Amino acid sequence: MCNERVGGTARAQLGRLYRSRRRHGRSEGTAILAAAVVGLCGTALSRSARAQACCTATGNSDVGVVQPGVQAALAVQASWEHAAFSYAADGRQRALRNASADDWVLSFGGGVRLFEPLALHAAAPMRLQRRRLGDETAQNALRPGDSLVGARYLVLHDPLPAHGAARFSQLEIASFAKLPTGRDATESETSSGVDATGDGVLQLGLGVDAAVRLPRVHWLDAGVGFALRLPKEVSGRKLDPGDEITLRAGYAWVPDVFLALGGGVSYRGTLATKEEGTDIPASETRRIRATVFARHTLRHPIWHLMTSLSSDLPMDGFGKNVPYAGSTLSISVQRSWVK
Amino acid sequence: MRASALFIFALLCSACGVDDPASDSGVVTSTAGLFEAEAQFDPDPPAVGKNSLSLRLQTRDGVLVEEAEISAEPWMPAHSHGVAVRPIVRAEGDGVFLVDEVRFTMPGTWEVRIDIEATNMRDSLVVSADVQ
Repeated sequence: MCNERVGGTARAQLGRLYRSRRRHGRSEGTAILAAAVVGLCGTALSRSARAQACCTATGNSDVGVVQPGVQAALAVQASWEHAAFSYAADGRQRALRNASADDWVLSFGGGVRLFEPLALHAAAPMRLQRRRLGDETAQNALRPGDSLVGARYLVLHDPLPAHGAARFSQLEIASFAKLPTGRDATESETSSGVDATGDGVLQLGLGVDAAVRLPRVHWLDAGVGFALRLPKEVSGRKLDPGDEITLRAGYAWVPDVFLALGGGVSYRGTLATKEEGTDIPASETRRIRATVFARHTLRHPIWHLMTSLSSDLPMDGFGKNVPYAGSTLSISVQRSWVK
Repeated sequence: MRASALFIFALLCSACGVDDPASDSGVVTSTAGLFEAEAQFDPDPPAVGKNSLSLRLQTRDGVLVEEAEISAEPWMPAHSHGVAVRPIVRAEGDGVFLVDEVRFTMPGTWEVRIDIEATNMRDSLVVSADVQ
């Protein structure tokens, strides 16, 4: 496990970790940390799945999620999304000819494991957005986005390696509340809507994340989620945004606790929007994105660096009612604490 | 495991259908049927940014409306929001009203929701716009 990329300090830390876990078997520490690696990779897909559909190109994130085997975490993530096309209400993909949209997001997050199965986390983004509509001068806005608080309960965590057969390694229930700390598009004060940085509604979500460890160095990761999006009132009208469904599936190649490479797909769909209790025709949204990611442990087991590239797919049917679609490049650094 | 992967793949594929395209408006009848308007965007089709909308307005009896109180609001129904800038409406004569400064802030399906008060009648109409 301790290959040439590991410095002496890291070797000593890893050795201490192994010795402290000797009563559980020599491989448990490695397995737990590998599970944490996979869990973090899952958050890359989760972020992709939760990308907002409307006015802001990139969404809130799971920055700072506390993974199995980790007691606490702090993280910062920088991301850039460039919109290149849109999906119309009929699902057709169209190049973005008359506008440009770029978002730069700096997210701060952190979490703590209260007791063995339960961990809490929170994340808050600051968004710098740029919009140019038609031949008008581009407008910029710097504002907070929607914040997120969440809790994750580890139902199953089997740290043993898979010998010759796949092992169901991890099952976690995830809940979150997404708080409308960003500015809703209905409160925008600019002609381009550049200052709209949030959904404008409170969201309450519940989901399940699972990981399967295959023999040797292969992992599969999947998740499903549902979020209630609570109604809001605009100019005396009751508006009920459609509830949200997210699905994701991914693969990670984890040769050791220092490196993980992987990819996956995510789906986010919302049900029809209601106005005064009546469904608005063709108002459902969907967004299917592909993500590749790499995670590198800078200093084991403390500092982790993760990069990911997510992209909407410029083909008909892979999105619906998505005004700004494109690619997102993210880089995050996380400080973890283990027992 | 293979069955799970197939299930997820099938679920994703089932979500990829392309629906019927939204229709654009030419002649629009008001909600209560009191007015009829011939709507024309400039540019046509409407684009992200600044647009104008010409309305040739008549009553259901075919009488051109020369004087009216008209207000307009761009609205994106799928995402439940409008825009910060309110359009300006002015009469051009011969029953034509120009709704200027119609600003669409993003591509997609929009509506221009119009309230009309004329000849002691009050009604509203909606002009759809597939904004690119």
